[in-house]
Amino acid sequence: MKKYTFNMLGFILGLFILNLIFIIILKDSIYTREYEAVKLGYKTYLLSDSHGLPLEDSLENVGIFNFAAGSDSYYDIYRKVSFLIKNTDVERIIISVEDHTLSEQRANSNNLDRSLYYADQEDFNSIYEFITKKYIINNLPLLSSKRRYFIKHCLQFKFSPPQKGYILKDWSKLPLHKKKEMCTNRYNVQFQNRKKSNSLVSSLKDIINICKVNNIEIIGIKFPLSRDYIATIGNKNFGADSLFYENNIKVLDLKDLYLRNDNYFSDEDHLNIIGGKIFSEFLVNLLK
Amino acid sequence: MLFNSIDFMIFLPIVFILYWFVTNKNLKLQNFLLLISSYVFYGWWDWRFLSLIIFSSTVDYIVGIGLSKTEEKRNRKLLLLASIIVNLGFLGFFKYFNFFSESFASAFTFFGRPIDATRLNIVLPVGISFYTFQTLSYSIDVYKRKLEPTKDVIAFFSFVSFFPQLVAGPIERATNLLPQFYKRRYFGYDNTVEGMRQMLWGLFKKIVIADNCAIVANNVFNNYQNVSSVSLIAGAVFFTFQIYGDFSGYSDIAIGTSRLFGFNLMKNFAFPYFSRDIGEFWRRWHISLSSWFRDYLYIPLGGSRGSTWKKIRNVFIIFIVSGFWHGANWTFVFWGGLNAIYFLPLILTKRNRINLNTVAENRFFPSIKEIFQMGTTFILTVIAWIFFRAESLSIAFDYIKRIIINFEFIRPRQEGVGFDIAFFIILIVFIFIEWTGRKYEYATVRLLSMNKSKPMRWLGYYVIILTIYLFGVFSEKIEFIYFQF
Repeated sequence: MKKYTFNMLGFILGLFILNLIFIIILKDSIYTREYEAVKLGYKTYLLSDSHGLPLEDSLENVGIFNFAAGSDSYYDIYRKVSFLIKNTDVERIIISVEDHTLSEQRANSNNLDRSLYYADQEDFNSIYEFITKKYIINNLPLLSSKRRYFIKHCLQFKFSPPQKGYILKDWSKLPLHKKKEMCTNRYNVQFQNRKKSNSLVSSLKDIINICKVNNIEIIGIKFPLSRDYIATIGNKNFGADSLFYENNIKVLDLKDLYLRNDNYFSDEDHLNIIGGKIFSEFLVNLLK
Repeated sequence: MLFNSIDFMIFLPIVFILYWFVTNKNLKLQNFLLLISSYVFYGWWDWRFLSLIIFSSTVDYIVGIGLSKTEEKRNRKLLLLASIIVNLGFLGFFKYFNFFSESFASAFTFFGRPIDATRLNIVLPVGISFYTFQTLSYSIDVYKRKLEPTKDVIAFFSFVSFFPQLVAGPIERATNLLPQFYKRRYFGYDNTVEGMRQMLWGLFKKIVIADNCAIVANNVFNNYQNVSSVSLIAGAVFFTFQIYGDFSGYSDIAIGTSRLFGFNLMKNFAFPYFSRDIGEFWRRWHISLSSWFRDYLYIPLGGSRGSTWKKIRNVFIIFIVSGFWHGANWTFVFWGGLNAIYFLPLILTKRNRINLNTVAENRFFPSIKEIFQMGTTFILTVIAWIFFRAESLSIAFDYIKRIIINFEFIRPRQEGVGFDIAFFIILIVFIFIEWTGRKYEYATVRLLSMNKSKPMRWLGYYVIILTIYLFGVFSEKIEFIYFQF
């Protein structure tokens, strides 16, 4: 038994060292660093998943901070909104209400491990849950199935962060069969055999309510999609926009804005840097 | 409580520490701790399930005592019958009531007299197919005087509910497992470490191999009408690996976990996809179930003795019942029947027991003949698995029809049926490791257990852990397949 205990302790120590290595890899990487970067002096914040990223910081000179992050779900956006209410003079929030944002795919693929940064004790059911999730599990990437994806990519790219996908790609340059393949894959991920997530609906309602209670104007937005992807998804929609309409909240439905501009897209449903800049200008004019 | 869950990661060390540090000096305490732990483990799914397993255990315990007190043949038969009726009755009710009700109604409809099927909202207790057979083996073996009935309540109830193998096997024979509860277990370093190695390999098979294959297989099967033949074949092959990784992985974890507590369970898988014929396949796949049916059903029916008609009848009975055991759906029955058709030529020509050794024994490369034999057996099992996986017979037949008719080569990736190239490499490495370890209890025995270099062994552990961490699928939606049985 002594030999076993000694060897087990040694082995567990090895696991802790591995855990520490992963913490170091994650610490200064874009996985957390960019996610935790927020400017507090704005009155309008844009909150969305990766669809909002191509806009980068182009709206800042008109007083809108881009608080979007890839894979942000309404769980994460609620934490961010709650954080903004406590720490800024926010007056207006623009939130994406895409066709897929209430999909169970989004419920499963979220940033709950990263948005912990914006959560405080009030966002948890008990202080035990708060301490466990925010301080203990958060520092155990070996137990986090989310963080491992990023570690995997870091190792694949030899410790350099992966490039932002929307900078260089041009959807218009892809052959038709490739476009079809990508649209089908994306559709399968977001819609095929997926149900609406009731917990995401609940989170979105919480966002609406917390904004109402704090007199914050809320606007919904649907980002432009490529013509090919619109054709693929048809009328599939999990209804985030409907929830806004039911609550008499304005929705800027800009899905069909660039049907003739494939060169504005990096892939089937994300703008590239050119499209992001042009869309920002359009959005600014629309919001005036 | 799943083996690949945080709950189990907390549960197991607590039980382990209590077992070896608190209760190790007393046999009754050891067994009592196992009993309580097993009930906590089982009740974690649904505490209501506990009433069923306790009742089933009680009935068989009393039947055992009754059998010890009577020599009269008629009374002994009645006691055995009581055990069979109660155990199979529960199994039949929870698992098959709705199936029979709907099939009954369908038959009436077919003959022009439609009736409404009575459908009950029944929750299938986890593991009922497994522990029911385990307790039945006790009653039958006591009846046949192969085993002395036990008066030790704690030992018996612990045997029935032993948590490592409770919910998905191996289905242990009372003659093997129950006596292990009569003797105090002593901590053995080698056995414990070997158990942990086997658990690690089982986790790798389940979380990396099975669950990644499940993503591809589910994608294809859920969308089979919209993909081409190549994708359909890929879906079937990936399901073949999924079910192997899932079930054999679980068995490895169960056997490894048992070793942590000083128990030795039976081997449940022996590299079945390297089989040279279907007879060999069924000696290597789900060994605990196939041997159970062989000993308690096939042999009492006469086995392979008797007239040709009897041989055919017995083969079909055993495979169809085996199929039916898997689930209340005609697809499982058909799957069993198809395996019977595969097996029949072997038994009629008395060639069902010609490949008893390990393929390419003492060689690395198989012969051309062996490659052909393994390939043929593999293809036959893949076809059968299509029926196992499909939701209905019509879907299964349609699936196969679409493979054969209008065969066209379209890259699966173009149809959204893709997989990570890194996983594909891992799958190839996995098959290689399984091949090189095919004569051992589990594949990594040679790499890990027999490796004399401690740094190399530890490197092996960390590489497997890292692979599980980076490439495993951690989704609560993908359970062990055999939990549904």
